Amino acid sequence: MRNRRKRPIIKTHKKLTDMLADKKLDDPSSLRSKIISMETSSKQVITKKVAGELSPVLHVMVDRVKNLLGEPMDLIVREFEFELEHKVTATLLFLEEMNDPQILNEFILAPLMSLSSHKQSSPVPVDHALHYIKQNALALGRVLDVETEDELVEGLLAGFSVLLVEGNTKGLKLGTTGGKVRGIEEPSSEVVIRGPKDSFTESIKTNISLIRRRVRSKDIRVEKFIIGEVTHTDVAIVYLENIANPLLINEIKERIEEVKTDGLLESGQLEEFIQDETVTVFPQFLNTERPDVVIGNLLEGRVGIIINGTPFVLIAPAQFIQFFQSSEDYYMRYDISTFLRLLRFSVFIISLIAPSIYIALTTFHQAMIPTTLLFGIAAQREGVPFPAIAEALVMEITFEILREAGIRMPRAVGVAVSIVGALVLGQAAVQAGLVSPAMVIVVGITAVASFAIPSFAVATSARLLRFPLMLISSIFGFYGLTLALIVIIAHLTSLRSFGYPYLSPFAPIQTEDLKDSLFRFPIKKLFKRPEKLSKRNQTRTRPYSVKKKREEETTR
Amino acid sequence: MKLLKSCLSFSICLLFLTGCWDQNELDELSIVMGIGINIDKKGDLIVTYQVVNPTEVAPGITGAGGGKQPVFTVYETKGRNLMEATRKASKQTSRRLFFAHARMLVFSEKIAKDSIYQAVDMISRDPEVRSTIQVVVARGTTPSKLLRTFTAIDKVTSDEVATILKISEKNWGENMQQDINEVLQSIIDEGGEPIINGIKITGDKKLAVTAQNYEVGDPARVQLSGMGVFRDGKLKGWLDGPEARGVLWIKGKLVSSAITVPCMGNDNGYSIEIVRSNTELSADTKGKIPSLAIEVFPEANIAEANCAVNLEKPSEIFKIEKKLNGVIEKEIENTITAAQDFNSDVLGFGELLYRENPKKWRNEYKQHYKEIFPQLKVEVNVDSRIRRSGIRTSPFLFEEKKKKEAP
Repeated sequence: MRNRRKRPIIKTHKKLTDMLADKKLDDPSSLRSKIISMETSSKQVITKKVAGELSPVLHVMVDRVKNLLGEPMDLIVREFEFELEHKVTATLLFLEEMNDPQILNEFILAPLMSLSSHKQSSPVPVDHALHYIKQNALALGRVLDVETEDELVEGLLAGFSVLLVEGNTKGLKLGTTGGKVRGIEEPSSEVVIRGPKDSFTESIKTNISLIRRRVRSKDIRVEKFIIGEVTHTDVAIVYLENIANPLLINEIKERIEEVKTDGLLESGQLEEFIQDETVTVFPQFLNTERPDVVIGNLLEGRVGIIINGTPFVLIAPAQFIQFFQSSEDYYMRYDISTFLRLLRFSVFIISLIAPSIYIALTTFHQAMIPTTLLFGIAAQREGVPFPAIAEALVMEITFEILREAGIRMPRAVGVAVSIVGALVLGQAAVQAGLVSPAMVIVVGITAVASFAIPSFAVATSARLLRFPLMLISSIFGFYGLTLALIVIIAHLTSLRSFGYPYLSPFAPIQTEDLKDSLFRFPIKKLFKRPEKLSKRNQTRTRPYSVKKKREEETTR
Repeated sequence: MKLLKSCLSFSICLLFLTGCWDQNELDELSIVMGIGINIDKKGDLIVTYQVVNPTEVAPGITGAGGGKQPVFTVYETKGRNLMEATRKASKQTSRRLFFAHARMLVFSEKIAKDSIYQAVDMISRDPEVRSTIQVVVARGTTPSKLLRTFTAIDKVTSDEVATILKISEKNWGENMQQDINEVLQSIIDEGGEPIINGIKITGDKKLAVTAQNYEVGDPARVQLSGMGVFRDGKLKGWLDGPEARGVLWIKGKLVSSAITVPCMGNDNGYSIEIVRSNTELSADTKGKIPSLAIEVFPEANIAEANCAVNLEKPSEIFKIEKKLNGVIEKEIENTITAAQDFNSDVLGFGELLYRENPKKWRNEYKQHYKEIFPQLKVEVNVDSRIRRSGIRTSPFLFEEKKKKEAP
């Protein structure tokens, strides 16, 4: 048991040190060939194992593609001719709904078909046709050579159109990707009052563009991976090269490369594959729909992981305290932000232990309840047939049922469920003497509290831990509750997110980082990046240097 | 398999290690608010418990009975000692008696005269009973009657008494809160003796123990009545009125009070409101009989002036201060004389001497303290300051006098 729990931490440390040693030996060819830097992809030569050369005979080639894909109905094969030295036959292949028909028509078919030999200064031989039209005829940004069948098929599936020319052993992959995607909307799970209102979408391209538009830095790096043996899902990591720790980047890359799975549909799946510790209720990644949150974290030296097909972007490494911070904290005045952060943290504590405290107080420590309140609770308990723990469990589970029902049920019946939930289960249960009104209040405050935490991920961990804590405090009272909380804190301290202590900056204590933890100091004081994250580039642009300069000028 | 084994052993451990031994659901508890202790002729303790009926006390909750039931019930048991009597109570109660919220411990005068030592140990030893439980002596009545008295405002008698004590200490200063801790401390202190508040029932005593007491406009009430002076755990007598206030002056516990000072022929002319006070004690242990000095520094306001005095003149204020000093000095001296007459050091002089000169206390004074205490010379010095005179300066009587003299 012990060994198993310790393993990830040791592993991480070992890896980091190993990497340090290997750093200089690292040669680029050892990187998996699948990785394509999107920046340089047009130049990079893709070296895939040679499966089948392309046949220069067009109809043979088309038949083979059809065969490979199982003659799909949405594969469009457009044959046409154009004129160079003499007539050349060409075929354009694409999957219908994944391409933009307008681009296909206007920038590929139209210019090619209007080519004629008269315009040429010198005749072009047929086997140079491909090169020639790439250089002269295709008014498109992304045009790549295709040399193998596998590449061709992959390109088709990724939404490229493929141009094959009779007599050429190469093809052209054309970036005509299109089709319908969801537009940029307001974030649904992270609503703020003040702050940007756009959010990520399912398309990785849109998401990267949302980030790029906001960070006009040459140091921003976007690296692409393809994960999923079946789905071939695009995954990209984003970081700022001059800030992020290279060891961290390597570790993340390595872990992502190690993922072997059929398909990757959501960032939650990747999260489970690459997290440090599996046996825990606490999230080790921050997930967000908001581009500004990602950028804020990039500026601190963290890394964003974008997965195609989901608007939720992962941020690693994550610290516990981050789950209580909202991007709005930095847009509002520091005093109110500090207040709100403290509030959110206490709200987490409430949603974690409120029912346990109620149970412990009423069954063990009646002496701690103020006398008048004790009379009130005792009067309410009068005639309730169940012990406090049963009462609490019934109410909490009822609430969980209501909540789950509220998420899953169709909108149309929503009103009915809330009426049944609020009236029948709340009021009627009290009137029938099944539960005491105080218990309803406790469950109510717990429920409301759990929704006030900005991160849903950490709210769910409080939700899960609540039940064991309730059981423990019904058996051991505050003594048990305290022990359980100690265990939870010990567990939190043992957690690592990519080797970074989960409870930092509290444990280990990092005084400089404390300024932006439970408190938020005025933004002028926050000129240090998190200590462990950005070893290379600790200091942010300092507001003081500008101020000082000005002062000097005026004194002169 | 390994997991199953560890789970099994864990759950077997739980059977033996359960912490449920002090688990009690709230509806299995009887909340005791007051404890009364009396003694019968055979020497057995009669213990009375005042237990609340929460459905009647709780705000906004009306139980099945709907306001028909009494607010509290009283159980009474006998036993050779306190624990025996307490456990015997289970013969009458359907629920476990729960003492943590008890606010009042009443001794009867009978047991107080016999000795309170036989009844305080369990109260201070039991972890459930709070050390803030107020100790009182039922004066001219018995604990069982007192605990059966229905009081009008705070419905539970014990609650009412404890609150009265708190309010009265702050506003009048003839009684001070004495919880079980303070009582024990004063017993343990060198040469010290406890002083315990007295409480009596006023009005129709027969009506007091019926619920009808709620319904009449002038019900029987509980009322604080002096402080009982003990010697060797036995009640020796009572300090009443200003003599009782003297105790608070000396102990420096007086928060606020009103003191009557004569004014231009009117004996009850001024009423001086004390707002805060400081007391300094010092001892001189040179002689065979030690001497003590008490210095009191009260700050006061003029609350009432029923004579034609010109308060705009500072000299008048100084005059008042001087008179006030005299009155307070007299009060304190009376208290000391009374305590010396009882030969009971409720004022904590012994502890003072011990702290001043521990060696001499141990070697000389301690053995003969019973003889020394009545002979102690105490010098009392009061230095009061009058700060304010309310929202007017001179009384209307002075203005009237001026008007008469003017034409």
